[in-house]
Amino acid sequence: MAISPTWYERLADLGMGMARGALWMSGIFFVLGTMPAHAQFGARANVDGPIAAGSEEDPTASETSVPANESPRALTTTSELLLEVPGVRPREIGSVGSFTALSLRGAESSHNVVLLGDVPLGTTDGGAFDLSTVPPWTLERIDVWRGGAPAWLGAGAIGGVVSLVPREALGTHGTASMGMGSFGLYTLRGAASAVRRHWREQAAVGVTRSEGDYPYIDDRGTAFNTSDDVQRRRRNAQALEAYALANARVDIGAGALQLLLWTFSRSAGVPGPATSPTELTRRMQSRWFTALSYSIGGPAHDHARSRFQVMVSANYERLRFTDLLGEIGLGARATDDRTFRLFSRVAGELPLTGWLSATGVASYARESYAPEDALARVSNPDSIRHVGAAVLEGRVHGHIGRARVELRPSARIELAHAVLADDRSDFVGISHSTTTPAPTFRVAGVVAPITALALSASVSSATRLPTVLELFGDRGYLTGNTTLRPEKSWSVDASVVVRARARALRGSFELRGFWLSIRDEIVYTRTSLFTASPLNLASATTRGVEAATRLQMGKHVRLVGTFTFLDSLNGSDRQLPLRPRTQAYVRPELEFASWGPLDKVRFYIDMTHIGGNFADIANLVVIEARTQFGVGASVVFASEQLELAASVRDVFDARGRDVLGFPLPGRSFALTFTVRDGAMP
Amino acid sequence: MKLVHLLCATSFLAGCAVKPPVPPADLAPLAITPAFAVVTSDRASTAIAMLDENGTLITEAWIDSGTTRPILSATLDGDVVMPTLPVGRNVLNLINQLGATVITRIAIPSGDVIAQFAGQRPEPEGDAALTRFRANIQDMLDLHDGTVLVTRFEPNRREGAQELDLGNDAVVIRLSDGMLMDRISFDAVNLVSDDATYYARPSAMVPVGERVVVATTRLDQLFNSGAGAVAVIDVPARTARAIELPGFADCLEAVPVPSDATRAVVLCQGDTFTTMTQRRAHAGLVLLNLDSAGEPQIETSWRASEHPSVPVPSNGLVALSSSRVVVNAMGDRSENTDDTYLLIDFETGAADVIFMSSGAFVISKGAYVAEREQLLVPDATNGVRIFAVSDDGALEETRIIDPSPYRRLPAREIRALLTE
Repeated sequence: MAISPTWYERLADLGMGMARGALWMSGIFFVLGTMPAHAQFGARANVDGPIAAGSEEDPTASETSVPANESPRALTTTSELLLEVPGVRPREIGSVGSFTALSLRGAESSHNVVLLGDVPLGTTDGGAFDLSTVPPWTLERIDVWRGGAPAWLGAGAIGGVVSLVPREALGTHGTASMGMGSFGLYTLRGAASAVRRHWREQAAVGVTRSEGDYPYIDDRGTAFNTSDDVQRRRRNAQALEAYALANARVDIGAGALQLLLWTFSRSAGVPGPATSPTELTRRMQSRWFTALSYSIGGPAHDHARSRFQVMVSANYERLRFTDLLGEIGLGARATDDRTFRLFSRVAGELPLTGWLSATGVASYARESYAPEDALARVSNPDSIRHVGAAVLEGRVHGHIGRARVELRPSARIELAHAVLADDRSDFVGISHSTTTPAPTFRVAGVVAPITALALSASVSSATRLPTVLELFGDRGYLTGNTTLRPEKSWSVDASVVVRARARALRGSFELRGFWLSIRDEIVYTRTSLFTASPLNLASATTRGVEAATRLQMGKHVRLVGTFTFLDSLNGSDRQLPLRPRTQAYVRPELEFASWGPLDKVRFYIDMTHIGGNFADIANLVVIEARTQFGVGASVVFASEQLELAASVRDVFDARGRDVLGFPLPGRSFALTFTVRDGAMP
Repeated sequence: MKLVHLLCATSFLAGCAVKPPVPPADLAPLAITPAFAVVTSDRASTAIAMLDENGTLITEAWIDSGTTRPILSATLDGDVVMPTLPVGRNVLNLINQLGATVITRIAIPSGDVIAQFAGQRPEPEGDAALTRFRANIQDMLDLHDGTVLVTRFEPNRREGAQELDLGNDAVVIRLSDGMLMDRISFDAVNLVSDDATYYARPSAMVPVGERVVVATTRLDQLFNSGAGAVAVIDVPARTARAIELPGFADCLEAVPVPSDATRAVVLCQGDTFTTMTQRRAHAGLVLLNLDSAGEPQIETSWRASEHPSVPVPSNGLVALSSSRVVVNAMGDRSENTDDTYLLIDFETGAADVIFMSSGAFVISKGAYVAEREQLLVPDATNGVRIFAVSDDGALEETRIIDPSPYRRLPAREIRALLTE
């Protein structure tokens, strides 16, 4: 058996290659960046603009933003948008309406915090967030912080923070769009926004229906007998979903009052693993979200000005799951779980001196969880969790010579008190409440020797609190463990970001390396003949490299590209399952304005590569790598009032899977027709 | 130049391809005739190790979950067992229980796959109603006429399911092509009360005389246990009836008695979803023999409730003779107890501790070869424990071997193979 190079040898080779490339790119941009900026009339301008980093909110953080509604793909999904972010791995198990998990930097999908605006969307049962429940139509953009996140967000997580920025009014106009696609996909969407002197409001609604009956090969479980393989169509995969957003902002006094309403509902079949297709299992979920905030202060990057925000939010979610025939689990189930969260937050940033400012955030959440299972042996009790968190960050900034520098030390403490309302007489003496403190810290810095270049590094810790299910169990097979400790992590990362413009070429390039170590991971272990209990047992380490670029070359050509390398190992030096070592996305685009009778024409080709990975902890079962190509075009005409877009995904029908037993759709088509009225921003 | 760059990029990506830590098992012909097969598994993936008659490791993985590249399923999933008794000479038989419900038969020592077939009918094409259910096949018994009997644990609650798709039964399958030929319903073994139906849920099968004794768990759809029983199959008549086991519950294991085709031993775990202390009330062992009419009957029993100081037997039953058995009493983390391997004597009622493992839920079903007086016991934390069984009934541990040094999969089940 050949001896494989060690991980650090491979990484060193990779890093050297990347470093050479980065230095080459940095050199180009250094030359370009040191060229003085020319104002319209030839005068030289020396302006201290934002540091060329991923985020204006925090240039020391590893952040990438993706616009939500500028993708050239017809009927793009949120997981497709996130392919443009390095270090992010959406994991799908089917087509439209199927659960999509998200892994950041090789961490578990429960190791992320997802924010809508500045409010966490997670639930007290702590399950992985379903990315498929976020239609891009209701968003302005998605900001993804891998590793440490800005203190202003008030949130931190082992993998990172995904901030869903709601769609906002940038002009007065209306839009209506209808779309159709393969496997019975139909959508109808509308949006309207209005901007006046002191107020602006945005509304968006949509409905989507999909049959999801794509073809796949069924091997019937007989791996040695290919003669019985047959092509089938996915059953019970239909989905119907509706969503709406209202986002209004009114200037009042020195600040602005903002009201956000957001709702999502879905009714879908649950097809289950393709080896055991289902017929009747169904899931219905709905989410109602509202947030009211008052903010005073300047934009995120203007740290010379103070800012202040106070916010309250309410979030109600309901998830119903019926499996009366035991098609998915062992035995019939009919669950109806409801979660209600009240959230409040106060945040402020204050410049203390010319070189020092401080940010403080305090939040409180009250989360109630009411599970029900009509067919359970015993009733499931309700639980309540109170979570308070406080963050304090200092920002030390200035210049060393011509280089701008910034240092951000921060500390965060989260305190969670969970209580289970247990009324069973035979559980006297068993603790039903637990209080868990979870302190974390972060130290990060950035150096910008020139305007176009930023070098940053950080060290941080993060935690994941045990979920209510892990603490108290489900009164059935899963028992609780109130002695559980939070899962903990340490991470180190370093980045090079180049952001510049020179004549016809403008864009950004980021290169990041990181190391993430997770300890005390909670895993379920059998504790008696009929029960399993969670214990802090596992550990994992991930080393990785991320690279991304967005380039505009002249008037007509754009390029988007990302690359991620991960080496994720568990405590036994086995590769963590479902972590591809490599992931890449490339999309060149061609755009022409005023092409004959057409106002705009746009073409694109894209390539997605997901590297091979293991399906199991023992690393015996390989999920093969896949490379998929897409192509599409759009035309805008009639004074930019009408747009027609068409896309083909997985042109060569590579299909593939993210999870064993769950084949993904292959080649598919999508078409949208959009009508606009009013001046687009 | 552009093509070179493209090739370099492709090579770069290919160079980062995933590589298993050990080469996949490939069913290479065995140079040594094996005497035992060991299922090693972490409940997600599985490998089958082969041992010679001395217990020495021939290969840690003759076949494993990665032997074939998956289309929908892995070669073996994490829920693999072997039949209670050999089916055919020089054949390794593997039962994938839950996911793919597939039986695989492999020739020893060539490694040729003789057959691979499902324990239920395939799904129809097009929009026809599904017939599939999660059959959860348990055991396979050679009927010595080119067919086998396969027990299916789960009932099919789908309305309009056809006869051969009803589950909670034993089906007759033709070995030559895997065709389901016939079905023996276990409905007569169900326990029906006002508020629940406790399905028979047949599992292990043991031929006793002209009949087949089948362990039954009698669990309702929420897995609550009903009153204990075993089933008796009349194969030619295609019927099954119950023998009630009063005072017992969840009778999930049955094993043959070496060199005695007129007896079988049954293990009952006790009520489900209870602590070890509570399970004691209805746990124990039952020895069955044949009455004058050739029908199985209760000969004697051993009740855990009558031995309050003995850990409660729960799994891993192996009969050493018609009076002595070994069995595991599972530990309980909530009570800080580990697995205890017991030797129980029906005649005296004595229960001796053979060994205690370093952990709970680690000891499983082993294999006893009477001709060599050799007992092999799978211990997930230590490996395969090998005992010499003396004429006076004493057990002496002679060695422990690691059946999975590279894949590091715990030992879960051992079977003696019927080979030339």
